[in-house]
Amino acid sequence: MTNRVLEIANLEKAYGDHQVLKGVSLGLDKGDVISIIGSSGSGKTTLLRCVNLLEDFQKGTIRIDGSEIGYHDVKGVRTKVSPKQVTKDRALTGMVFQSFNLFPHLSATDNITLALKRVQKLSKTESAEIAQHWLERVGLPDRGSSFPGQLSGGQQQRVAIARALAMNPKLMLFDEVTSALDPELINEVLDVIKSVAADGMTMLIVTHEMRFAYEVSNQVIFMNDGLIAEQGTPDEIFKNATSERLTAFLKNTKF
Amino acid sequence: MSTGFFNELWISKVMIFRGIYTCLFVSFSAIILGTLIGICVGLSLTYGNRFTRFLARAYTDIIRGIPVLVLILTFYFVLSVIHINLSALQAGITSLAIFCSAHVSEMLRGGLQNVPKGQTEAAKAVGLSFFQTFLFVTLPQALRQILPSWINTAVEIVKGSTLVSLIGVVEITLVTQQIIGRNFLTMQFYAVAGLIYFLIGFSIERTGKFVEKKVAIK
Repeated sequence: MTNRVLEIANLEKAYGDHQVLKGVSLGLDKGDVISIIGSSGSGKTTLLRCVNLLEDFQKGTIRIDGSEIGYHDVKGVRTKVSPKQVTKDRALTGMVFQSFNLFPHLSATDNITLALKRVQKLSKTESAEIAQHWLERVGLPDRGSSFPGQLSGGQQQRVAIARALAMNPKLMLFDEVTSALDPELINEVLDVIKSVAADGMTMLIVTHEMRFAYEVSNQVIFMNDGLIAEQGTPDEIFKNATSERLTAFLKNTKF
Repeated sequence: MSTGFFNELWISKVMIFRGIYTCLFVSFSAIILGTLIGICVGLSLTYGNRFTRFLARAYTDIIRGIPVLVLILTFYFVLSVIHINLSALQAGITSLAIFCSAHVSEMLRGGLQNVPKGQTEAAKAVGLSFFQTFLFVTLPQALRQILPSWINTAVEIVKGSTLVSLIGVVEITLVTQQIIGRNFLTMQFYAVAGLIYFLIGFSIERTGKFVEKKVAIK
């Protein structure tokens, strides 16, 4: 319990009649890197979005550092927390999106400093220093004044990673962060994620890059039809897959 | 004859300048007021609940469906029936402002809704509140997008301001008619009026283009 950063218990989520998550339980200790693989529609992205409270969920709990996020008990009734608390809970996690979602009207530096200034209430100089630190960390020390439109996809995604890391989250969520990139730009992004993982950041990664998942994670989860179908070390999942579904899935993906 | 024209122009210069002043005063008051009202209505259209959305939608659609002249005449003649007596100038500014607001609200709604959903999600993910997201992420992008149509509306308002001459506001058009009534130089003075309107509209458009370039997303 001491080191548990994320604890998901029996998470259920439905869009109307369509049940997307059918009871997912999952735990991450500090420094854990867990990759989630699975075919599209299996609920991986939805799971990640629930942890960031971008999606409501109907059943189950998500705890970060021991405290429940998103919902609380009001006289025995499960109730969504106030918008203010949602904002606070969300700040515990950093999220990187498939489509980067940098703010196009702000420079790379301002993309990073916006939340530092407005959420953490840091001074202009302080936040600029932090931004510079993280830009250096993702290998873009001299692109602070560039606007998203002036950066390549890979560079944009690295700025997005820096933006999330600068908020000092307890947990990083990566949602198919290389799926929108040209093949030759994928590695620069994956390398950054690997080096951040090496620094001990706790991470939950949804990815289609099997080799990357194999290399970066200490646990791999195979999701199928809204459930965790298999969970194990990268070797167990990729080298010694036994179940029919997983073997079929791996057969259809590049490693 | 041409010396006669310049002589008449010289004699009329104070009247013309007053007309220009009134035209600009009416137009800019209407644009500023209309934009402020339009922002409120546009926000209700975008973020309001079902009830406020319905009201804002009804307001916008009704106003946009009514000709400006009818609005002007209504505010001047009809409101006095219920004992709201607006001066010609007040009625003119109010009706143009309301006309402007309906257009601004629709533009703003479109602009805000065109900002990709991922932008709001990214803003939320870094911990910005709803209001901060609006102020620092969606609004700046929406404003850039609606700037060209907003400038266009401003020019339309200047042109629409000619109509307030019909309720007796002495702006460029009415001044021109008064001058012509005195010297019968119909063609020349309508040409002068046209030139003045063109210059005002042209300056607004140029300024708009300049600002657009300045704030363009790189």
